[in-house]
Amino acid sequence: MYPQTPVLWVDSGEFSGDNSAAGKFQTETLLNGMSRLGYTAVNVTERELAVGLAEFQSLAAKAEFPLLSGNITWQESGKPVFAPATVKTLEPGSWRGQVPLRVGILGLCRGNPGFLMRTADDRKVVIQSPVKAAARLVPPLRQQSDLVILLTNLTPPEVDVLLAEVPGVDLVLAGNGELVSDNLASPPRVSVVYAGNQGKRLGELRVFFNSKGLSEITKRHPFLDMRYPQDPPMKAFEDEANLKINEFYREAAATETSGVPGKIPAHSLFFGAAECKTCHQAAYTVWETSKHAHAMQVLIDAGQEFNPLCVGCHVTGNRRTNGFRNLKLTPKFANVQCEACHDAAGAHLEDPSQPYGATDANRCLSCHTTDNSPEFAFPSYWERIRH
Amino acid sequence: MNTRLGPLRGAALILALVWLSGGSTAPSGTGGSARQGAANDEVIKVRPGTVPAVEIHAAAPPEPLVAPGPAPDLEILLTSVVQGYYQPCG
Repeated sequence: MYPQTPVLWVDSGEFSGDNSAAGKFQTETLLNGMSRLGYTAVNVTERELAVGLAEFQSLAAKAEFPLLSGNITWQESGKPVFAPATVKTLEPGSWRGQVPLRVGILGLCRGNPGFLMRTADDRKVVIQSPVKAAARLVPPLRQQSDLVILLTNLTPPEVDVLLAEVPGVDLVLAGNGELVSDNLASPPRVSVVYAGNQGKRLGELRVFFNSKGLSEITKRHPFLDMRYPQDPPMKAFEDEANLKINEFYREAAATETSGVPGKIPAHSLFFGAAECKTCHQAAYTVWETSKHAHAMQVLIDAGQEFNPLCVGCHVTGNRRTNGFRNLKLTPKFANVQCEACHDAAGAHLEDPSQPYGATDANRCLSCHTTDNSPEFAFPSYWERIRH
Repeated sequence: MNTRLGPLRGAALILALVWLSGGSTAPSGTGGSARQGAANDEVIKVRPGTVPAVEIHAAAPPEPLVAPGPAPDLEILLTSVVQGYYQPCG
């Protein structure tokens, strides 16, 4: 990042949470956070409409940046529901050029011919072909802009089709699942960048112009791990949001029942580490002093003990048969106990002579993923729990 | 622990980078727009569709806040599919 260089923040869409109360709050929080950070424009996709158009528009109305979509349209008129594009003009002095720099940003989401959303006043929202929408929207945007950026969640093949049929785009900034790729091309060829998911990486593009226009684009995408310092005000904002999200789930847990339908076969039952201890005292002693045995306390300390996106890796038998459901209903199965790695002990207790408990490093990897546990290495981690 | 509102964490980190870079000695750009000195820049050159490997070594320093090379005319910061939660745990 360069202090003298203007920065535009953009998002390619699919940022919203789900349709639950916690999900809506998450969406609202993200929009708020983007506003605080000064985003320039954000693409809208089908996912953003999962909360309903009116609900999303209500949340979006508070955003301090335009939410774009050129192909989410009213069925009756064919007109876009959101602004299809925006042009950000950087005047001389705000960038080092001697003339205004006009950056046109267009939003397009993946097409879905089957999508039809009715509003409360019985209007219908559809999602048009992004290629057809681009053919209509790019030429005028091109005329108004020195740099034309497409924000989208199209797949790489879909982007290829669009670019083949619609000239005029300089740069495609995209997101599709976990895909991270840089297809940086020298102008006039179009650069296409996918920046991964969940904000793990900073997609940082550096754009150079010469007297003829766009000359080069380079990119870094540093992984935003714990080595980078946090901005204290944003950290406080984030912590407050996380605590509130946990409270949504705490309230949901208060009304949850055991919820296990029908009778559970005995061989599928979880029993908990105390049961294992009766025969496996040495292994139990090792476990008892490991981080696995205190995994839930970590979440409690962080105020996330009811967050379902966290607890799965901090408990035993999460949402399986009689295993962990939430901290109020099934505290017995909090923490990563024996059966988290060795599986439900029901069959073993029915007949201890039968093989049971074989496991391997792949089981560790279900939680110790590259993203969540970047320093994980089986040999060194195994030594901490060898038994 | 997978405890944080990941996108905001990313955003918070980014903001911190911006803040920290305020006192840097990066090239300020003096009007010449053509890019030079690319040999020192950390340009990622990959083929379409490939996924650059991400390796994190806690002991290694993070990438510099201001990379070597001339300042660009414009920087664009991209986030995508930020739904969900993310934080390195342990």
